[in-house]
Amino acid sequence: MTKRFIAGGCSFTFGHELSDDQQGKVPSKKSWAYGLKPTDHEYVCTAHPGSGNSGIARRVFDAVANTNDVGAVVVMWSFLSRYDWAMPRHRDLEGTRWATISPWDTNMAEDERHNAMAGAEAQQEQWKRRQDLMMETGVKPFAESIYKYAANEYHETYMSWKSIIWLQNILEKKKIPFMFTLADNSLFYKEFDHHKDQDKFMSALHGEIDLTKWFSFGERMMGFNQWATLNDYAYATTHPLDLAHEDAVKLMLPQFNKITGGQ
Amino acid sequence: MFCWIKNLFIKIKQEIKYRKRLKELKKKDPFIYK
Repeated sequence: MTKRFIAGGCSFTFGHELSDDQQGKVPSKKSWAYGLKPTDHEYVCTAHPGSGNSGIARRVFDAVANTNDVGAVVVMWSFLSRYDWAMPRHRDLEGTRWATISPWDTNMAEDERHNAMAGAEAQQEQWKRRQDLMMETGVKPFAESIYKYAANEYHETYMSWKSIIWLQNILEKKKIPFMFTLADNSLFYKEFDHHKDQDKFMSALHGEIDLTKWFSFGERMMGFNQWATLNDYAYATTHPLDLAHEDAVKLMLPQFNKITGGQ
Repeated sequence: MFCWIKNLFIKIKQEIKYRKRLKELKKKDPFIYK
């Protein structure tokens, strides 16, 4: 039976804005994750544009729990500041329940969003549909409240690391080879300060992360997006294009083969 | 008597903090239109 190769992440893994992007409907075959896939494995992409780390862990777990013959799992963890929430049921939510919330969903972002989509009518139309849906499902006022009254880096770091450890332990228990990487080192650092140095609790939580199963793009856990920017790779609106993904695969492959036993 | 001034001050402080953080977050977090 063909083994499955499961990929998790946000838009950087889904392949948003890459050359084969079909308006975000189908995961790209130009992404770093597809590039790492062994040729005899079937690709299962659980990545979701805009997803945060709780959502990434949830989707990968869902795939692992409902897929036979999982050969390997790769995950590119995303930004701290995104939330995943099971809302009251609504037919238009993911799985009739799940909402992905990012800082862009607040009222404060409206002007910048308008500028980012200037001249792109199809994108503006899609965004308007999303906004209508977010009002109808109650996600919009909830997003506003989260970022206004409750969101903070400490909680977001705690939630992200907890998601990482949760998924790591499940994969280890199931004896599924996996490699984790990251889009941005803000997952671990605020400028030069490591989040683990905030207190004993964070230090202990960080100690549970098995960093031998990770690939980072440089010092201080550099992420894929930072590496692509630093090396002047061509970008679309906000995502590095195909070449960055191709070159990232070349860098990641030795570590991936080492961790997964060259499967 | 000055309770409302204190509340207003807290609200303004909260709003400034909120706006500052969102501005920082959006510098890194790429915009997705869907």
